[in-house]
Amino acid sequence: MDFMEFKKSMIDQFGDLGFTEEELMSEVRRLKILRFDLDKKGLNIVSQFEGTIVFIDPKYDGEQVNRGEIWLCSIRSVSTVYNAIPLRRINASILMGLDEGMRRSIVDSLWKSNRVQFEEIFKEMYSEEVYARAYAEASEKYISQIREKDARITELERNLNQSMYMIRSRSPTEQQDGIQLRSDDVVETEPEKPVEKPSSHVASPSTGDAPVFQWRDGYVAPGVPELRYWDEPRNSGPEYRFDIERVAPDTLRCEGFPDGKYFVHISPRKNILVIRKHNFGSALCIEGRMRLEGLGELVPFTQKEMLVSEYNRKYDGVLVHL
Amino acid sequence: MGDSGGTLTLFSEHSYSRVMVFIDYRNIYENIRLLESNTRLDLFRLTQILMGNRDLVGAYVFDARMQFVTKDDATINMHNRLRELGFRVIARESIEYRDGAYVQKEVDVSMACEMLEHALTNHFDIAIVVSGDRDFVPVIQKVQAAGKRVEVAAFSESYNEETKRAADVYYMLDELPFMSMSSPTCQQGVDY
Repeated sequence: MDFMEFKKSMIDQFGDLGFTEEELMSEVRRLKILRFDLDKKGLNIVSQFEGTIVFIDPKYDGEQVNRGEIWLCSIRSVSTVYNAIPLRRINASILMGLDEGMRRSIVDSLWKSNRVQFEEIFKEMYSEEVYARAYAEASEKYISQIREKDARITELERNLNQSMYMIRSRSPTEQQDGIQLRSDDVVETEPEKPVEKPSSHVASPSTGDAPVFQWRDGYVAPGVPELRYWDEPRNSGPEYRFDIERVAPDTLRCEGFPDGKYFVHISPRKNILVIRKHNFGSALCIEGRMRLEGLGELVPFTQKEMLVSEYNRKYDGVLVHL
Repeated sequence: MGDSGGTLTLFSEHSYSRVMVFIDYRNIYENIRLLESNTRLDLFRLTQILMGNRDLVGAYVFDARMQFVTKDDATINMHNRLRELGFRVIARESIEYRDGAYVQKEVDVSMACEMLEHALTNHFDIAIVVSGDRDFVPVIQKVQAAGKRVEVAAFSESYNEETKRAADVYYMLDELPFMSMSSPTCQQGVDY
């Protein structure tokens, strides 16, 4: 039976219904299935149809429309927006009461009318879920491995620095102040003493013991001259050579240098650099690497190279030839 | 004979020698201005190197500044930082605008007067003049006549032969490491 036959049968049964086919079709076209949600300000329950916002008709006084619900509504255009009169809530219970064909057609209809919104929502939910699952799996497997490797690297580097320092000092059995052997084997050191003329630190030439190079942190106040000449042979011996390599335009690799602050000064001719450990220094050495801002502009860098460097008595620091 | 910066000299260094340092700031600054973008002039370190293991009695910095400047003026702040480090900064308000350029006046004479006064009142044994300006030759000679030693430190570009001959010892500032370098700050993304 088509619509005209249906109408004729209705008229025969109930008399003239008082409406035309055009009016009915017009009314049917206004029926939309809408999903309601909060607006951006979080104040009103609204929906949207073809990019235009849809408000609930102010005169509507039926069942309350809540956020996230799907309703069959009759919408009317008002100025630049739509007003909707909710007719019936669409939920799973309705679908469950329907047969398979009806259920399918309603779901298809919902999907077609709201496909763009649903795709965005599902995409976001799915990607978040996939990412969370992958992250959890990766966390279990890889993060613990990375932590173990990092700890192992740190320990090996510490051992290497200690070995290098002991080789350079030629006294492998002597414990040095300020050196941390292991985290669980820290040697109790005496409090820092003010810098003084270190004649007692230098072995008498008659005993044949070689002097030991010791880094001083320079606790002397800046206004007090701290340069003091040691009573030692004028020529620097091999034990005062240092391994310094320029590995990048602004970076020096300084083997065996303790972490901390240093004073670094360059000559105006840019041919020599002097490095001194000092608590007020403005250059940092971290894990044997020291970055000096602007060094690449002062002295062009072409390739990695070892720099001739040795302790200099006059400047009381490590003299590096650039 | 002593060994000073790799050159031969008649004089030896003794830890008991009283040293006074006189620095002509603008004369030094003009020579290192091009390096200031990557380094910083460290007068403190320069004074330490020149002084060696001798006894420093006083370190003077002579400079000029504009009249009627606010307390936030960069020159004033620089002078105050030097004072905090222990330098005696004598800043003449004597910068004049003449023939399209700023010129400083009175500074050289001020420095010469200070040197001579301290020499005649026996406040030091050794004066170290950090300037290559030839204008200081007469005062160098007068200070020497008062029985004092005068050492001069200057850049090769501003060195004058007369000044070099007048000095008892001279230092080439080009070879002395006194330009301070530092590591980038954390905000600049230090990558070690």
